[in-house]
Amino acid sequence: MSDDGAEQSTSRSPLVRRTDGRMVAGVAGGIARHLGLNVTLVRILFTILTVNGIAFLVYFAIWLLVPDDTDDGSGHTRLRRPREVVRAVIRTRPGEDPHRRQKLLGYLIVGSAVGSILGAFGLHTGTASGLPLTIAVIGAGLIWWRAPEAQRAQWSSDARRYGSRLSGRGSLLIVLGGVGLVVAGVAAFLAAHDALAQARAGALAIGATFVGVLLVTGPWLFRLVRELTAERRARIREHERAEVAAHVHDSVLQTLALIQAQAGDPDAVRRLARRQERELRGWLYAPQTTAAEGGAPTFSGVLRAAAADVEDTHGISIDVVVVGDTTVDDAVTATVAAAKEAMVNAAKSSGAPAVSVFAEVTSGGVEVFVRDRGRGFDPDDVPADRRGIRDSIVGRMARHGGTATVRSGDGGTEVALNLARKVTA
Amino acid sequence: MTATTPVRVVLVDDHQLVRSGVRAELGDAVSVVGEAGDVDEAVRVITAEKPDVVLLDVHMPGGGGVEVIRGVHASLPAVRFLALSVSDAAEDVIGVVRAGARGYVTKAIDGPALTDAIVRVASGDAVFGPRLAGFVLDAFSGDGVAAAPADDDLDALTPREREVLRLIARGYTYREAAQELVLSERTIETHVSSVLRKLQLSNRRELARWATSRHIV
Repeated sequence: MSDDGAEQSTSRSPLVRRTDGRMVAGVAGGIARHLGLNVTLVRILFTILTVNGIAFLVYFAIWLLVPDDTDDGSGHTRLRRPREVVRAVIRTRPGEDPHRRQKLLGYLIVGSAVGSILGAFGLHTGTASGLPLTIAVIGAGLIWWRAPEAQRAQWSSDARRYGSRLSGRGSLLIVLGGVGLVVAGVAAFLAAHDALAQARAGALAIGATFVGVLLVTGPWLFRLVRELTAERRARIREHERAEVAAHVHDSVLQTLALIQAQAGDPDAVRRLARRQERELRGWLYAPQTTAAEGGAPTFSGVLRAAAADVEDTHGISIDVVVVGDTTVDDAVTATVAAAKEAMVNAAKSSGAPAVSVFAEVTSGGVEVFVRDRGRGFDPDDVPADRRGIRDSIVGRMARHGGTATVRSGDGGTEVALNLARKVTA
Repeated sequence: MTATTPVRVVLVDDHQLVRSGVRAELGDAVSVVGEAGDVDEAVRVITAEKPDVVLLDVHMPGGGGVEVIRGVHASLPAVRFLALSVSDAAEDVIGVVRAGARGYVTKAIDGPALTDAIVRVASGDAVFGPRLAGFVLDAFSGDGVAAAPADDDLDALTPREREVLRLIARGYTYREAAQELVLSERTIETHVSSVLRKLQLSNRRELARWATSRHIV
């Protein structure tokens, strides 16, 4: 039956493990769907054949080798520790058979009953060979399940050298345990068939041959492994280089071309250079903020964007330093808008080439300082029809329970915005 | 400050263009006695010239600024380092300062300000620009001032130090910060030097973790 399952025919649906309505790992369900049989029938057959161990092996092998129908390849790697295997069997997932545990218990009882009956009639076919072989296959399964991960751990050991060492050792222990189980199982099988003595001679011969082959091919194997490693490294490097080259071409070289074309216009050149610098910095130093956050804007991101906008529109340079961060709500949006207005004022009126923006998010609230070193002004002298400071900065902050202070003098102007609130940073 | 004898400076940067640009920007209070384009050359030039201040690029082929400081600091403790970089990455900046640089300025700094910073470093003070002040405030945030009683006093900033750093982060010069807090400029320098010492000596695990984990500026 399991052999039929392994041979896939094109007319049938491909053999995958079912994740919905499964008992243990969806093997029986998958086979039933593949062969067009009743799932209960397949399960009972499995249960009965499990008594002599053979179906158990088949089940376990299919579990390991056949992907489940979600088909993202993460089915095995999700099971990091042995106890998670147990948990994966016991745990009920959404969309599963509601009476799963009871049914599981039922199949167990059926299996034990059939086993007892067969045993009573002296018909047990396999206890002598079935049990040891089962042990051996469990061991092999452990190795197969664990080996790719152990290898991967080694590959990425540079990247996470400070990661948990225990888990790395744990995977080694599991592989060693698997080897032990395989050896014990095979030895028990041979012992049960009185073949241990012959096997010893055979093992000696095999061992000697193996050592001999290793001695002959060792250097070649070693070099092969080293070459493979070097090749993989080179490929990774080449990939990175291509990515950097693509970025440099798309942004930096284009900008340089634009700058050459507009060499006569210093304002345009400065603006282009500044925008390119900002983009490149964002790419170099904050790649994960843009990638990881996706759609959710943060205070620092919004503030930087506002500063970038003012830079582009007014051709000055704005240095933004942000300490801490928070999520964006109406009050924060208003604070950023007020800060932007202050930056625009500084860009238009102060005559200073650069503006410093400092923002700090603490547990007590948000503070933003916008400072320039240009010619100051007297806030009381501003004509009544100029609404920028009064409405867009002071009024806007007041509406959201904050304050805005404008200080101006010979050393320039500083606008301080303070939004007192409980921040969930 | 020390107008009589110009400060002797070695420039270390792997770009010839940057070195000549910086050389042109520097004022009379500073005389460039040597240049180097990589780590080995830097160690050689610094050992030969024994300058007052080394202007040090953070990123260079063959190790970068941290390696230069390690190569020289033990044998020539009197040589002071000022990191000059375009890098915005917190771990670069904090890394080179923790290695022993007495300050960090960005390459966007103008000539007079850079000259001023070099003179300041030569006289033993620390140079904090807005960005470094922001990094430090960020790194020492969290448990704040009052908390962390078990920690060494190196592991937290005093309220005054925090105030000074916040003014620097807002773009104030030392003099302006002194006026703002009604202190002498000398006192501001003392506070900043003490922050630098904390930054270099603090064993705070969070600091190291912060510096390596955080790429956001």
